[in-house]
Amino acid sequence: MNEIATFDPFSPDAGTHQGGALDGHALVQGDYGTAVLGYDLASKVLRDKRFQNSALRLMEEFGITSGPVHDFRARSIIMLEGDRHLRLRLPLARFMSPVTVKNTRDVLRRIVESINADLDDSAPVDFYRGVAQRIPSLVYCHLAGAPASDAPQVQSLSERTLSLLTRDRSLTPVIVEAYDELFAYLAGLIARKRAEGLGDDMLSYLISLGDEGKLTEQEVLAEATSMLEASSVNTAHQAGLVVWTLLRDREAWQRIVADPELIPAAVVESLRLFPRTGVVSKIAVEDVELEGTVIPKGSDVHVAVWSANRDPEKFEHSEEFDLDRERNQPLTFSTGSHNCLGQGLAKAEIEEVVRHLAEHYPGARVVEDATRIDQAGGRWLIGKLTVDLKP
Amino acid sequence: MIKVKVDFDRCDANGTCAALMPDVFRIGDDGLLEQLRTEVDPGREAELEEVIVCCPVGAIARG
Repeated sequence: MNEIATFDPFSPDAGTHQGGALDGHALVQGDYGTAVLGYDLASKVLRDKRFQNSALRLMEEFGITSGPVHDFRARSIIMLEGDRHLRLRLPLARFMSPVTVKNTRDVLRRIVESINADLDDSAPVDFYRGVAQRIPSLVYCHLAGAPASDAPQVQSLSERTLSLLTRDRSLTPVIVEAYDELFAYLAGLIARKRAEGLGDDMLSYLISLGDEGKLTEQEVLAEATSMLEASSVNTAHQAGLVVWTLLRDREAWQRIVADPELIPAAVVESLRLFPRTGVVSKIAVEDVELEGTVIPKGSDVHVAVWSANRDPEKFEHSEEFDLDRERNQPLTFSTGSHNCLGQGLAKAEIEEVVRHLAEHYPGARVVEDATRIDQAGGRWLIGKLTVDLKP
Repeated sequence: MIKVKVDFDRCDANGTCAALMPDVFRIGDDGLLEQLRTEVDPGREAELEEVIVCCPVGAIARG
């Protein structure tokens, strides 16, 4: 297996790998630890409780080894298993599952419409900053029962806290400062909600679970923090990536415009090809044997979701956009007990952005020379996305 | 009795349902979801409702 140790999932050119096993190996190793490239093995690892999220260790490697930020991460939903995990997962799931999102569709539509009403569509628009980036934080404010005027701060907090995942150590002071600001913001919001009376929003629900003794005060804050950090930045990039994908495939776009029922499938297929969270990093909590190789306790295992999503063993013509795939289950939102809780909401937000474009701007086009899509180690992101809405 | 329906095309075997109602849902040794019962007692309506609402892929419904 080690003959292909030169493959590095974090190298800038990692994405030139077509996807799936490399020279027949679904598992490869190098200085970074182990990388999982094939779909079936990736699903297995993501479902396996012997692998834990690496976020806490990444923080420790960044020098955040104690204090409130470290404490939060250690107690947060992504790090826990069993009953403690479920106790934190269920209250959030209640507000974001596909079943509940049905009731939020009208709100999502209004948010998308209000943002588009601000746009000057007579010239090409900065679609990422003008639209995609603004929506998720407004949705968070709605869910959390915060004023919409908080949205820019929420967006910025999400972006700065999750910048940990870029693995750039120079960002440590930015990250710590962002969490401190986030804790203070939430403490203020919670105090205001108590003073004004609780509503039927998610944060009020969490506070009332705390009051009933079903969650500790620390857990209430950890839940609210997890929600906020994850609220905006990934959804914003992913929405941009989906729009970029769909507007450039004119044949698919014409079908979507003619038949909006295709939008959910179109969104999933775009998420498959261009996942924002292209790598999910885990740590083995014990020695684990995979494909005849022992992964030693404590070592890093990087699940290359972008590669699994393009595995030709799983997806026919895996590099092609295909609106008609059946049972299309990319691993963009991970899988297993720690899969993305907000996926139903994120997909609904992106669907509503696409629906709005298809209804109001069927001729919209990407302005290629004013657009930059970056990809680092399988993590796709929008540098700049310019769209001519009425070419 | 209340009928319980799983949409296996949507199911990603994340196991939330199996943790909540282990006598109805189980993650098998192959990592995939097995439905152990297709009906539950009407007295368990609230429990089932929680499973339905908490499935992150919306794969569970009342039949």
